[in-house]
Amino acid sequence: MSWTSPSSCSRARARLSLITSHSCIQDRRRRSSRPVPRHLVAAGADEVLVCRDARLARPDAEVFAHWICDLARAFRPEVILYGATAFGRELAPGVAVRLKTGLTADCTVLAMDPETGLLQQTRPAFGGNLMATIVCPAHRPQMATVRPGIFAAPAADETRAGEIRYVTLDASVAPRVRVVDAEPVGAGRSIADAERLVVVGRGIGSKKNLAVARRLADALGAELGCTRPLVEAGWLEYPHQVGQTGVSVAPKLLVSLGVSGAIQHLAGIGGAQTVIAVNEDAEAPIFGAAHYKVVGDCIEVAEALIDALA
Amino acid sequence: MHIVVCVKAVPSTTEVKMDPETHTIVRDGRASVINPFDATALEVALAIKDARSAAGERTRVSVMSMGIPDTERLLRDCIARGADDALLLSDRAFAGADTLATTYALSCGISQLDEAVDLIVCGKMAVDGDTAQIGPELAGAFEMPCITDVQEQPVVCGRILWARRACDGGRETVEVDLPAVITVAKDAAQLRMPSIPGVLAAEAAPVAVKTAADVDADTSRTGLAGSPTQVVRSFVPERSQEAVAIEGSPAEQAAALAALIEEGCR
Amino acid sequence: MVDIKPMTAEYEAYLRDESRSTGDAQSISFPRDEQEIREVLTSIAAASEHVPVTVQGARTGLAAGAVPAGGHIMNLSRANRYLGLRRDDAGTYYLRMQPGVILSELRRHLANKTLPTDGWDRESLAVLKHMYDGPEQFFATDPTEISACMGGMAACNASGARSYRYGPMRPHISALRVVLANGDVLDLPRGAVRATGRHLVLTTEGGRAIELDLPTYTMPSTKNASGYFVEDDMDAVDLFIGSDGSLGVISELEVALMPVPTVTWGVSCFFADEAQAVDFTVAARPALSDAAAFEYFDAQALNILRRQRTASTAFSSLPALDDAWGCCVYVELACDGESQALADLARLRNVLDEQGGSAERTWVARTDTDRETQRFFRHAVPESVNMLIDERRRTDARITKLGSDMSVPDDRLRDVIELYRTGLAEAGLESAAWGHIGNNHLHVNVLPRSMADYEAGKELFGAWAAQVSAMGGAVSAEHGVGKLKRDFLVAMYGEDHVREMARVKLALDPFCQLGRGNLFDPHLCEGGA
Repeated sequence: MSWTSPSSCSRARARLSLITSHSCIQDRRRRSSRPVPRHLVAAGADEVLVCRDARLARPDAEVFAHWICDLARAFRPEVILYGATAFGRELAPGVAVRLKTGLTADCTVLAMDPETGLLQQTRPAFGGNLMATIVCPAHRPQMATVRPGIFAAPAADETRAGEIRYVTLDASVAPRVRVVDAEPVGAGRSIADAERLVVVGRGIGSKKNLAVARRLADALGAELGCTRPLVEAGWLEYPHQVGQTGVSVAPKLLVSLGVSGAIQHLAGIGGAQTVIAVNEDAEAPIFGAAHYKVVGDCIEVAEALIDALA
Repeated sequence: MHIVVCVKAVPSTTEVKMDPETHTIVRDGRASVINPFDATALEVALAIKDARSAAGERTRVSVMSMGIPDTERLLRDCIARGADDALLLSDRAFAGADTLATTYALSCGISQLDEAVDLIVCGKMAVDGDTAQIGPELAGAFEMPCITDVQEQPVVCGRILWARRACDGGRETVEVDLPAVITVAKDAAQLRMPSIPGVLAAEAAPVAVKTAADVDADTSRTGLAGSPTQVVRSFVPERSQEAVAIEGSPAEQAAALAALIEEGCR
Repeated sequence: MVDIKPMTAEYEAYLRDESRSTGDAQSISFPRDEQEIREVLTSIAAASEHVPVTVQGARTGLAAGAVPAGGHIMNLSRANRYLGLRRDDAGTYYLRMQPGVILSELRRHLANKTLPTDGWDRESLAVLKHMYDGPEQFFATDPTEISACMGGMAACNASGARSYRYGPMRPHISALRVVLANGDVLDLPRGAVRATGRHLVLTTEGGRAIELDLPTYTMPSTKNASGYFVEDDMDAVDLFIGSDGSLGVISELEVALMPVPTVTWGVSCFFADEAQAVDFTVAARPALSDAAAFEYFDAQALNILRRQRTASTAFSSLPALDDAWGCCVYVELACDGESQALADLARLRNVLDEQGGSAERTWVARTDTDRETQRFFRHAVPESVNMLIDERRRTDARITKLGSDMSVPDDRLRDVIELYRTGLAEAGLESAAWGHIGNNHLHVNVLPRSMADYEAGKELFGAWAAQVSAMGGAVSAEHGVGKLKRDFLVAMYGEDHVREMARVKLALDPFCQLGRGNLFDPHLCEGGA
């Protein structure tokens, strides 16, 4: 979450503050933990506001909303941005209604209008069939939740300097939702993190052809995803579902087999860098979202590709 | 117990065509439908009502919508399926509302009901707007706790509601004291069809229609006037690239793909 | 030029149809138009072998009509173009097409206004624009299997749930073009050529006259797809509709369209037992103004659905069925105004109340979502049974679907149900029944647990064929006789009348090539009947 200071006319340098309730994050690759505030400064924050409070241990949207509203009233930011995670998307409206300001959900493009100094917030509507650009001219802060995976994380610059301040949470704030039981998502990695994905659709023909898709995924070092009809048919479980009501993915490589390309599915693959689509139907909508178009029997091509990669 | 279900009328399809000349959305003239997520919300409320009446406890399910006069037909359909009463907030002053202004209008409608509300059920999002903001904003407006993205039929026992919800970490089961707001995922339940007596009785049932004045709404906070955000541009996203066709026999195609993939690795 | 290809492993799938039986063939072709159909037939004739030619559409038939009995397979799936559109003075639209047009595609194009018009003349295009500007049109015949193609549907005179109101495909066909076994062509617009009594003279486009003595039997008054359609002074086109590919190859057909009813509501009514469901049907049929369909699902069918719903994710979106609900009658109301539909709904309530107040046990589908749920529910029944048969087949590969397709007149509905139930109980067979109760036409499916069950089921159906015929019914109401029900046809009409049919066939197909094995045993054709 971040904001800029009030006097942000386009010429003045905007001030970026990040707020966090975490004292450290796990770096999976290096298997170490790094202090968050320093990490955020290295990533570009001018200031980091940190609050350590037991009431912030769980992502409780009401508690966090009260906290952010208090900070907003004290610091009067121009803009507040949130990641459009499940938590971000329930937290931000709680702030918006209490501050009586505007909020744009799930932005995929952000820009500053040089003339007006307003934040231009572009987001998909109608399941991705329409894009809308939205501004919040008279209310402050301007707020948006931003779709994860669209913007690359900035490279760390350890030489950057920034201020780290500790703030507190008002004593009257209390969580009202009690967690009875938690079920973390599957033991394996979420396909949302995968760098390579093989995504299968109904065009693979039958459940037994999943075996070929899995072999291709193994050969590519990829995870396996699928479209919604396959989950509904019981061929794969819900964590594999890619699309508007499933997982949004942004892999470097996505190989799509037998997927026709319903708009709700395409909404989940917009972040993929390279899409190779294989489908028998030359007119399949998936080809509109692909970088490479292979018209043919997807199982035959998959098997041939497994051989070619060996 | 009094449950309010907020429903929105949405186009029957989300396939959008832009008129190339006017840059406005071409309406296909098909009738609006209940937002599928809100249909689930209604079923969730009706199922709570069924469970409570099996235990001899009275529950009233009210449906509410902010919309054009035609929305009355959809509210009547909700009554056919088992809702006890319906309220349509309809006024030119409500038109053009963003989520903040919509939340304000709905909150005025809810505040004006003749019975205190114990539970507000909303669909997680609308299939046209996709914002998923109304539920949490309504909760904030009433300072009620909000449970979002409920995945299965929740259970109410006394003044406690249990629900299983999706969150970033996976799923969790939570409990909260009423009054509260919950938003539901589309597949959490399937809206029951009405019976013959339900349809016939709904034909005669009253659907209250109220204006901004009727619900004491300040029109500077409703509709376009009350919306902090405005759309400055809408467009149908263009395909930014034409896919490169890979021709040949499956073996030839595979060889070309393997080469591309290897290259991409570097 | 169209290829006559030798049968190789690549074409193995074409040896089968939905009846799950397999045939054999030596060659196959995929003609794309009438000219190519004629080329294939004349070149086969020129080779002077007069091999059998089995015509196929989408191979969705259930009576093995498309299963080849040696020789050549002529598959028409690539002859799938739309040819033109005209409109008559009464405002009815007639769409001309090739036989390979698929029903689901036709429906999609009519709904989305996307009919392909390549090669259409200016007049057709003008009529099309007129049609698109007006109320949405549809094609009334609705077999459950929508991947069927129109030529095949015409060849077996297909029916569906809505045949209760609209009849089978027959009355909606306004013209056919038929290619005979020697390549001659018959152009048959409805109304152009009629029989005199039972004598019919057909003239090919080449000028050759063919004289036919039509069979002398009287067809039952019920829904019927058993054998050739014949009646006094009949229209020539009707001889070929429902002829199971045995008289000629349909190379083009023209069908009438109708405006879509503005209001379509589906009402599922649940009953504790079958007797109540039948009483309801008998009472409701005359009471309603706008019923388009009456469909039945018995208790065993609903139980299979209940099991599937919990067993398989694909069926989990089926609505839950209260345990107390035994069987179901589905009534479809189609009319032009909500007030009419509400009036019929009130009449339904009265009928249900008179029966003992089960009006609460109903589902009324008025929205696209609900109609889709109901449609899925109705189609899940035969699908679930297929899955169950597939499971059973693992114990014995010879076990296959065994479903009856017989109809009786209205006043014999209770009798035929009694016949079915008594027979099944006496034979100790497991079964599930569903179908077009409005037309007294139920599909009783035997679920064989063993080969012994299977044989017993076949025997039972044979007995029913005779008894249903005696009741004035039809042994095949919609699937056609094909190869699998030849015996039933004999039971229905007797050997003499079947020989009469064979003589008609020989007059049109002297070497008994087309659809050999369909309708009658081939030996009836050899050496002249």
